[in-house]
Amino acid sequence: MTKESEQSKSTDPKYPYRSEKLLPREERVVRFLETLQEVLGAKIYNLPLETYLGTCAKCNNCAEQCQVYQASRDPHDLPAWRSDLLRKVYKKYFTTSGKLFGGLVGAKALTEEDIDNMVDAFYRCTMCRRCGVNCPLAVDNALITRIGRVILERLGFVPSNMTVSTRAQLGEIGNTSAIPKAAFIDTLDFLEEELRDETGIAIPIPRDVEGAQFFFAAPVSDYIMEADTLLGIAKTFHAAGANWTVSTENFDAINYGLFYSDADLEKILNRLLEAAHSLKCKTIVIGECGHSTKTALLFQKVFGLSEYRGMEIKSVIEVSHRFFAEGKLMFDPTKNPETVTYHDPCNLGRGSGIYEQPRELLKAAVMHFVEMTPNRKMNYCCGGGGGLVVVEDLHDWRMSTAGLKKVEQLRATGAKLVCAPCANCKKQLRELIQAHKLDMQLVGLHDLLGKAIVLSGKT
Amino acid sequence: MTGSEFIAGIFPYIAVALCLLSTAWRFVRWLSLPPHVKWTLYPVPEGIAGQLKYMLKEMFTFETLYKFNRRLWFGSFSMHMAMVGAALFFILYLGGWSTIFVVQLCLLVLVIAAIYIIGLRIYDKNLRLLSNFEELFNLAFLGGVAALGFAASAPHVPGSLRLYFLGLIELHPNTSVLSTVHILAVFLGGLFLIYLPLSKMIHYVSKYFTYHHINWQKK
Amino acid sequence: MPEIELAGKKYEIDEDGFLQELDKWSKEFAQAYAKNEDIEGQLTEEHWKIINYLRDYFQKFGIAPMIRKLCKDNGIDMKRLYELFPTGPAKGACKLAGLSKPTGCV
Repeated sequence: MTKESEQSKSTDPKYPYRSEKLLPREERVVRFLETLQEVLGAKIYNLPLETYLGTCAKCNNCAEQCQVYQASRDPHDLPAWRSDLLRKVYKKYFTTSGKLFGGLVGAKALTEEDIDNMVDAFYRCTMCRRCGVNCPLAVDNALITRIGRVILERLGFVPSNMTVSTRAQLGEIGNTSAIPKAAFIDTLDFLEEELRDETGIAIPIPRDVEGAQFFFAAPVSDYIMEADTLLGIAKTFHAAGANWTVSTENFDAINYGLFYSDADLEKILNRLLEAAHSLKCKTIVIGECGHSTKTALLFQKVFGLSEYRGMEIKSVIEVSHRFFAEGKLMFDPTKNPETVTYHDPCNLGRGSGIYEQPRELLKAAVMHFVEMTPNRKMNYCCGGGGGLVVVEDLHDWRMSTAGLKKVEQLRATGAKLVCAPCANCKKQLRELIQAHKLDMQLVGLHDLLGKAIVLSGKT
Repeated sequence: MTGSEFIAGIFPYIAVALCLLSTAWRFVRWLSLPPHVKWTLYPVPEGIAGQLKYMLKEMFTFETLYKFNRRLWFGSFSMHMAMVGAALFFILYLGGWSTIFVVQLCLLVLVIAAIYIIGLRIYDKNLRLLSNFEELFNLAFLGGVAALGFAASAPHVPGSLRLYFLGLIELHPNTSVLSTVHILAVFLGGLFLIYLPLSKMIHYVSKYFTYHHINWQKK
Repeated sequence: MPEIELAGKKYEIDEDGFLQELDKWSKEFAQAYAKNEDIEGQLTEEHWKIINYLRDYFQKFGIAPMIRKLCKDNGIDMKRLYELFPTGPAKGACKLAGLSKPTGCV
């Protein structure tokens, strides 16, 4: 292994926001290939990578699925072209045909410029997996993007917005928004006060309850941004008579490791699992957040310590839906008279199979529900997926390019409210609504459920 | 043994054996790599019947391509169907249940489709960007095999092809009935069979894994 | 580390424009920076109320408060908050108040 360069903090003008400890240019190629070899040898990825990198037929069907390409019409946004950046390297160094025939079979020796291209390309993919749905060969370009980013991180290419958050989370404070414990408790007190003011009854947000059935972890930004979502969730648990708790030690479900690093993903995931395990909870309930739901679901059995693998992991949407199906929740839809449409967060829909539950809940809790077109497995990403929503320098691009399809879609619904149960989507959609002056507002799912829920003890 | 005796008498067995072995090798290789991370892409079709239905529909309509890439679909669909058709009707022909004419028709479609896709890959700027020599070579190879097959199935020596192939199946190939164009077609066809599973055209196997083992994994 | 020069003084900021040396904050800093955050003219009493509230909360807890709490304690709604700070409470208001950058999906 080459020694990590001492020149910390990027001075490379090409990557103003994407790099932390960049390797010197001349060391990057070697490190890249070493890391690719490591990834290919890792059991986790060798089946998808061998099939994805080995068999793409270059039919370009993915171009029609990609909202970034549809908006930019830049051939460098073609998903197959992007994936080919990695495929060429794979072929050159890891396949017999590539070693023998080189460029004839699309293999290419890696250069520093190729790495530059990858930094750009892999951070212009929102990892929405829409192209995977309609790939005749079922190649998932999002996984290739992810692997590309995992390798680039080892060269020092990673948005500092992500690593700053991860550092806070893995450090003493323990969460991505760096909310100290005292502030968190103050916020919980405030939320309980709000619940009392709103409903006239005491609805607790239980803290550190050992043996509670449900261990609740929200994307921590909710404790700054999404009061209504949290209030709705507390009301739902209360109405269902559920035994639940939050941990005041670890209350953050976010796992940005999904977007750039297996090593960080593993550490963050085990912190979360450990928190639930130490309170002896059976079910981890992830708040309204796509990527952290998917990460916990997908990687629990891969990276979770063996003693943590028995716990059940659910999205709060599934849990609320189960309460609803069991007849534990009653809604008064007249409390939500506006027309509501639903945005399928990629990581909840295509990534976790949560399509119908939120719709059934919405139809019970609002007066007018309209579908967005297209929807479910064909829904467009908000334009800030793959963690790009936290990268401040990509804001203008997210508004003008990545989110453009979404804006058209939102406008066409004529709805006054767009419901998106994902912290990532919420931020992006709010910004889109503002930037494009749409006559609508963003809400979370439990915001609406909380408004319509009929609580006993309330007149 | 002359060169043409070897090509017509021995080489077909080698080619078929290598094709089967390589296909099996790649199948077993991927089977030995179970997916450790659950990278499911929802929705997953319900049950074996649902998955079979989805797969068969995709295989025999090329629906995804039809919906989003019609221009390529015309070529790709015809090419694949013609390939299956040529093989199927050739077997029927050997059994005496079909005329060679249907096989020739399939081969002709195959040649035209291959040329059409090559043209599209050069004409369309995005496909041109994505294609490299390998894609064009594979198409040309397949088209070449089909063209030679077409030429060889023209009635130079009536019934000879059928006699030869029936002999091959009974392990007594009668190579004396073949003309030069027959020998060439058998040779190129054999080479293609050897090349097919080693090339990226192995997607007839990989598809099973990308769908069943990755996209549709539920555990 | 980038710097910004406001009203004749230099301040260290991060790449997103957040003040790095929190103790260097001054009223002049906030006023001079307002234009960058799409606020025209002088900061009003309403602005100052929010800024001071944020600074007090930050001093006590080391983080900005929940936005709902900010609104409630200051008797304004979200709409008004965005009118006052067009670039948003998490970014614009915190920046002017000299708070460190909120991270994550905010």
